[in-house]
Amino acid sequence: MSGLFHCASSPRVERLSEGLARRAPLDLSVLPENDLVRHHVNLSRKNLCVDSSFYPLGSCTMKYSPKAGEAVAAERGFSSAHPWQKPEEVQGVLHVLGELSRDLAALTGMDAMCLYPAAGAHGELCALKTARQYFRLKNDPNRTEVLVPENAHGTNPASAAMAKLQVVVVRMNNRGRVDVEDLRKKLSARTAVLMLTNPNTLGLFETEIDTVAKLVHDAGGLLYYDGANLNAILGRVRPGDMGFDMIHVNLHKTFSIPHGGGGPGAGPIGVKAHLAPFLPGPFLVQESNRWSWTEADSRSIGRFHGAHGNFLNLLKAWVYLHLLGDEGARRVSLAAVLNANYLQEKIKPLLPVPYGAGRCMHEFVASALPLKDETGVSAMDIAKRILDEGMYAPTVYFPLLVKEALMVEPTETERRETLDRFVALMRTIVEEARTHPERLHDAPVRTPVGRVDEVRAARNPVLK
Amino acid sequence: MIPTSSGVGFVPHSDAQLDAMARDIGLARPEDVFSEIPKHLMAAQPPLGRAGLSQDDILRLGMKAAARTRHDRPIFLGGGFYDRFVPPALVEAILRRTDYYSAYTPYQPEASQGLLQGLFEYQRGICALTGLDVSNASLYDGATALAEAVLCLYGASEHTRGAVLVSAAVHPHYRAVLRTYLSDISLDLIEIPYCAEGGNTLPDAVRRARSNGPVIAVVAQNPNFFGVMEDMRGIASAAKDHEAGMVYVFEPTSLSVLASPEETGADIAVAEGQSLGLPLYYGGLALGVFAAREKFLRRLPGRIVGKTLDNQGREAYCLTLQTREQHIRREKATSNICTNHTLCAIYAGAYLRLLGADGLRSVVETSAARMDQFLDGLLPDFAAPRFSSPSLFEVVIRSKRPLDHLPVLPLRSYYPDLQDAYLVSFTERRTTADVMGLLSEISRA
Ligand SMILES: Cc1ncc(COP(=O)(O)O)c(C=O)c1O
Repeated sequence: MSGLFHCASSPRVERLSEGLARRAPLDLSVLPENDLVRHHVNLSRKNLCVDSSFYPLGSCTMKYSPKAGEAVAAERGFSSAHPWQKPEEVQGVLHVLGELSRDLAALTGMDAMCLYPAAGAHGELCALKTARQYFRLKNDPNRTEVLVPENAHGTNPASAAMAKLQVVVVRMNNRGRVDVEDLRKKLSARTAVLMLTNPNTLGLFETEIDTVAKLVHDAGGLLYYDGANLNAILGRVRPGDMGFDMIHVNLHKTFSIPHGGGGPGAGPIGVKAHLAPFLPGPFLVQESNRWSWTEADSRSIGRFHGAHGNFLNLLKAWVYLHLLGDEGARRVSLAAVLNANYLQEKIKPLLPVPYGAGRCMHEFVASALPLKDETGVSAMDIAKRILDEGMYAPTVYFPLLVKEALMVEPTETERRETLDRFVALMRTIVEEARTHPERLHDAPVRTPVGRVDEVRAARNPVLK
Repeated sequence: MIPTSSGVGFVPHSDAQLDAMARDIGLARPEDVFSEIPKHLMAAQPPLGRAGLSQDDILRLGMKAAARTRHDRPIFLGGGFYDRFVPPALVEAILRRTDYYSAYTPYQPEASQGLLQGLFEYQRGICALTGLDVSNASLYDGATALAEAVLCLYGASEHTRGAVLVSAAVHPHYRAVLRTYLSDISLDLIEIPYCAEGGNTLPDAVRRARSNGPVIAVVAQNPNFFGVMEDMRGIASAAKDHEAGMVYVFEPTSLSVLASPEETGADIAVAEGQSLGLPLYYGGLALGVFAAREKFLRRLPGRIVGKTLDNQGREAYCLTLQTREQHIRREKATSNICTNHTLCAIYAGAYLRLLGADGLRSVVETSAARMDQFLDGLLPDFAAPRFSSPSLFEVVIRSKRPLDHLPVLPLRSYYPDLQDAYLVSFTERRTTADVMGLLSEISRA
């Protein structure tokens, strides 16, 4: 071997019995270290990322990730900590987890946090199972329905189904908010949970949240906050104060940890005190300055992760919250929402924003429908054309409520100049749609590859 | 606070710039953007109750916290997470490469070809390792990958209820997570006791197990939690007798020498991928590996990358078979997975290519050699192997005196019948001197 480590041989391996040993050859297309590094450096250059480009991908909060997080993560005391080391040997690690729990609870208005979920969807499943257990032990096991608004993220209904709960869709009204009348009709003694994100996926604040919360609680249900959109209200409004009983937060969004090109993320959940005993264990406890793990009792839903959650990312969120402090947290939400409103007002003359009559929160959803009717240019064509100018594209075709949707989330870490450049590009694109539509259908032309044939990929799967 | 070029909260705008932007869109003040939020909901107090630190401060604080981790002695802890050599080349070229880590899920393939190709190469590596037909682009960790595997088999079966047979020698946390995932589902989890003498799972015990409904899945781990090598061919054949799917929980490097899941007749193989050279991070840089036979392709959980062509006929990659997924199928999706562990997967794919079959075999052989040295030097007066079946690179010993002060894993909290037993794990990073040191600690206990 190439000297990565000192090698020794073992007769144990050479003499493996027929029944145990591998027979098939193992071809892993080896590359020498130098070429492998080159290969990956060159591959990585075929991506746009936050550190290279404006990345207004709606619902994803692609803000700048402070490099201080990377620097702290490089500490050997963190990178080499083994998950089964005894608590006294990893007090710094546990201290970070403990402080982060406390901070997240304070920011969300919850009483207890669980840091195990590895992503938002994992947190949703964890919280829904926690809710089910709560009802089961309250001798109210027939609450098996989860209400989700029609514009909810796909993970909400998918998580409900994994917890064997039935999904009931609640309609939105013409102002892009939960239709309270429809909600009233769908609430019943079968209601377990209403899942809601506020601001919702149209980027709008659910102004009737008090009524919604009261209706759900009066019906005996729990109110669940999908915290993917927490950035808009950070340090200003707390889901706990709005009446929510449980929440998941995507640390890879509001809390700045880099998304890793698709993960790992982290999706801690928080709950009010009445739900705390049902959370997955073991629980982190502090006694006279010493942190340790204690097993949960039989009320808990049980373990939810093979170790203790995505510690590396929890650590980066801890760094971020220490850098922010209260003033920083409020500055984040202020600039995130101002940037989004600024962009919304500048985009409106170019593309309609169907629910954009008032103030949006951290994002807004424009529609390319009229432009498509007029010129044949779709939201997807626009997205591809944006890529040609070295910017990433907004989220397209989500939420489903808006036809030809372009969901734009600038985040707080972008300067006005960057937003203006984006607006100028959108102006050019809308003009091109009228004068040179083929340029948009053919886009992108300056990316490493042209328009990728996704239909072909699905028809003849080549997966290895 | 003195303004810095980073800006408070990493917001680049000055107050004057915020004011100007607000005025530009017809607002009197920047805070007016919150006008739709009912006033009484606004937090009365600052929630954190503290000011922000400087970058210099947090680096110092981080260093202090990290310094409280004990790492003045070699560890012999394993049990799913291994102190493997972490190749600096992969840390530099992948983990710390911002062009990878600061991107989102590759929704726009034209601007994400690097991530997609990296994932494709990972899928190829996992298929080669397991011998199975298809791999997804990663899940969260080994334990949740196991739960997804059982749900996948359940979804693919025609049954609405049934049982899952799990060897008690499967990692206790994996069994616990599986139990949690199944808690609202009509599947009974039945544990198959391991052989008290051998520490292995007897195929006959699997075959003889009785359940109320049909057996949907049989789960075994190789090497098992005790480090013992299982008769996976025998267990898979017992699974066939039950007409159940077989899930093989593996340790990735071991497949360079042990029968692959395909060879043993397994249907789905899952693993914790951290042992493919990823740093430990307290178990928090995990990787859920998931591979299956072709017939499960349409039921696979999570993202899958496919190779296709662009509009110029050039090779290109994209996320594919998305009609299985939550954003399209919502409550009918095969899983709720959205964010996965892409960065870890690309890293693991590169680790496989850096080491190749020979390198992986060296990892296993070197780890096994250290265990050989350990067992050779273990004096029966102090401790002895607990089980008679052979291990690969982890072994359970029974000790006359408590060894809880040593960096080995006590098993009593997981297995009440193993009061005086410890799992001792070896990796290629342990040296002869490390092993001698542990032996002398054991004799002094
Ligand atoms: C509103 C909303 N909810 C839930 C999720 C799921 O989070 P994750 O991808 O971390 O599983 C997302 C992520 O895109 C989201 O935008």
